[in-house]
Amino acid sequence: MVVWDEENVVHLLNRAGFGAKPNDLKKFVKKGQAFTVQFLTGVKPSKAKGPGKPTNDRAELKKLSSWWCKRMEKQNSRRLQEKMVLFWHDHFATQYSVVKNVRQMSFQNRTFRQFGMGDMRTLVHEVTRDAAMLDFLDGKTNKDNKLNENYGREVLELFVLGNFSFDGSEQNYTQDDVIAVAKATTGFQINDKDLGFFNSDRFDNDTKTAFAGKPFAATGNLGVEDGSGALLPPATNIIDIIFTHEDSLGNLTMPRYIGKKLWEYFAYPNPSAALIDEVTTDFRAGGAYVVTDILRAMFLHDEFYSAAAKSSSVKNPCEYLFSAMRGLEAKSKHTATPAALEDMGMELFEPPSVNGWNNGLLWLSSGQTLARFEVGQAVGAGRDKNLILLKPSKIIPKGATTEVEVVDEILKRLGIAAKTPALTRQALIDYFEGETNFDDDTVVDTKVRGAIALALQIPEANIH
Amino acid sequence: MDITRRRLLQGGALTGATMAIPGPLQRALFSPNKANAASPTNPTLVIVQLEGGMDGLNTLVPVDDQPGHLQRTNYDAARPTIGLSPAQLGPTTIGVDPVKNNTLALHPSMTELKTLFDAGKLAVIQGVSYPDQSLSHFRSEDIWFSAEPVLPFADGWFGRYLDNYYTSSDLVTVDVDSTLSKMFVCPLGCNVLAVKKLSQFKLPVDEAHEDDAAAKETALKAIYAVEADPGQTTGTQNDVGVGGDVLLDKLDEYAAIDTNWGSNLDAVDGSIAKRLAEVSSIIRHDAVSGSPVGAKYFHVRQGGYDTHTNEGSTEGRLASLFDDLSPALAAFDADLQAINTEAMSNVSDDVLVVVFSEFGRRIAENGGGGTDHGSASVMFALGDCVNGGIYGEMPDIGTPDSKGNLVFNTDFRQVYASIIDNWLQSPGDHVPLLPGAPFSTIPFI
Repeated sequence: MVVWDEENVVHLLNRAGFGAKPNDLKKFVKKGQAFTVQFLTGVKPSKAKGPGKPTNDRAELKKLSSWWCKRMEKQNSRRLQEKMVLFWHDHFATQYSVVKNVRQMSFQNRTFRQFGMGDMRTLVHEVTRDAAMLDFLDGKTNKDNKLNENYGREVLELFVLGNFSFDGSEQNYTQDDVIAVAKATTGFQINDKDLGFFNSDRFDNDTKTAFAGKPFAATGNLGVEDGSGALLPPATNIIDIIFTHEDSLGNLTMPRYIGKKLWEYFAYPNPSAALIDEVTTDFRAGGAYVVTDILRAMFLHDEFYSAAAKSSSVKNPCEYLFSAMRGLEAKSKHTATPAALEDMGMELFEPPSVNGWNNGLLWLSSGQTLARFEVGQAVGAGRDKNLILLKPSKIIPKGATTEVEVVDEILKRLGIAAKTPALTRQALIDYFEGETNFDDDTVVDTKVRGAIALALQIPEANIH
Repeated sequence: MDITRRRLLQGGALTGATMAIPGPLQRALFSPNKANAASPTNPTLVIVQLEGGMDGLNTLVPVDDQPGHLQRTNYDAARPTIGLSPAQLGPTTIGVDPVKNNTLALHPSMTELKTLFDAGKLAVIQGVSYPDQSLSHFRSEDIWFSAEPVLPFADGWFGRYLDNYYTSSDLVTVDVDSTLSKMFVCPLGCNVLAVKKLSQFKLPVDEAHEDDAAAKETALKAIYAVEADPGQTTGTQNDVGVGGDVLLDKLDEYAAIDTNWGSNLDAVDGSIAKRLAEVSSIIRHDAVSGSPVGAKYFHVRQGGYDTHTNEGSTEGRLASLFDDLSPALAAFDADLQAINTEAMSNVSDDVLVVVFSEFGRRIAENGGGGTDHGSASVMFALGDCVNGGIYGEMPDIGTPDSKGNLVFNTDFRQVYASIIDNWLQSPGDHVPLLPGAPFSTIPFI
């Protein structure tokens, strides 16, 4: 067991949510690790859905993005749930510019909120018949005798198995398997309410074989559902069959693939197979595949609190902006935050490809670093209710008479006091140029806001 | 850790297997318009990536049959709705297949490229891919980026090139994109700028207190100097520090580049034109200003080639993409000619443009009026330095592989080897940089 202190609370809340408010720290230290992890993981599914008109109007999409930003910034007990919505949006990446229908995007966003922490097979089933996905990967045109492989390939490659086994030594599937999955997922269409449904008239009912020659090979029509909306029995539907995929040593592929992806998203890159097997033990038990079982196991694992896990990841733009807002108790109507996220490389509902965003250091390309400098400056300036409203008077500790106190308070609120090199802290102190009359509004408006902007531009504010 | 050496050894182990496969090009049935080998003084390379898998068979199309090569008949059979007719292809017909002798035409939307071809500035390289084709976008991109078709992605071929010939403080490469291409991932710490617009090169200012901007800039530069110091930070923290420090160091130089100089690309629609305009602005700046930034390697990207549906023939998704691409490449060439005049030197002789996509598409169209993922495709090389012409051999449309795809006959690493040996460096220099080397080069430069 790790020592449950403020550093570990900040780490968990950064990763399993979007940062920590000052009063989160004391509260969750006092409540302990088990309580905190249960608080985050124990939430019930939510059917909350943002505004979504059946239109191809970017102004309407912006309303949906703003609504979601508000949730990411504000949710308390459901902060991990919103993080998982973002994770699945990145995983089952779907582009509005292809879908061109705001209602379909809002339904997909709700699907991730409703099913994103539950049974993985239900989630994959819901995504298979999700209207936005049927549009994006051409599932709606995939029918008997007129195959379109687009979705079938990505289910295997990106959504459930990955190209290679965990150690990279084995190809997980063949082109024949792509075709088998494409055939098995024929027949889905979109109705006039923008919901996906299964039309058996368009289904390829022929006998097909998936994973021919493997111990888990399956033969049959391999259809997903019968038309009533329920999955067909496990041994017969293609989703369950893909879930039975193993490497040549008998290790189940899906739990390792999803487990690794979650670990890399929440902790650090390139985890060992042993670690992933450990954190997916409950997930695999009895074939229940409940996503929250992985999350809980990760957040209770000592390795999650190791030095490597605390400093190896670059915050994505949502994490960067919303953790700054929480730490600094800033406010926003969020009408302008979607554009700020886009500048930093994370246009919501527009991941760069079906492979999602490039996480890690790639967030900080030259252009996107400059965009973060801009956003850091905008947070510090904090005079625009559509983007950020920030009261610098809140940040100045009561009775503070030195810039040192102010700098330390800013770093503490951003959760980076321990990580920041002494010389960087000194440069922030020097920036005040001796102006420490915090009763003078001009000093506060210039230098305190300026120091906040600078603190958000340093490397430590960008990593976690 | 000597990663370059490790990779070199792996490459050696693969030589036998890879060299056995590409055959026809070694027979070298080429028809170059110019015979001179290039001798650039400041070789500049612009890599254009067409993302999603460009349909090579609707990019360079067989117009007729020849004895023993029923390419047109087989094309018609495979593509009843998206096929381009000989009449539609008439204006963009460019020549014959050097091996099969079938008449070949560019897509009808490529009228500007046809003009460049006629001027001897465009090379079209056919049948390009690699052994054991991956039909995954991301795996196939990784293979093109790394030049390593077998092992999982480790680093980029151009990143290794930069590591080999430059130090980490040399900034000679600009990726005109929001994030850095994996092509530039390097084991030894090369640095590459990735920025979509040159106008981004500025530091933000608090408009309410503009007089404080200098103090902020001083602090920020001091901080990044600390953060880039390996004695102060390690790991990701240091990586971010180094990246920011290099960027802040170059900020003013890049901010000085004029982007409103009247580029021919300003009048061309589409994102690819905008991105190429940033490249020509940098090239112009370095040619005509007294303070060059020194960038000479560029990467630009045009997305949207994953035409599973509504690919179309003379109109449709592919035609729209080429309607952007073809005039953009022509306007880029026109920019170079304008820069020649302004700089009173032959700057254009030093600029090579190479166009690639991660794979071609299925021979037969699918049920949605599009094509699924395929294999061999075509590449383009463009510039005053290029020996224009049609290179290689179009794979036989009538005898696809077991997945219904064209069988490649030119390894893309032959093109990379040609770029390294005949443009950037000297013959043989590709060997330590490309797994599976040595490769025979192609005389398009």
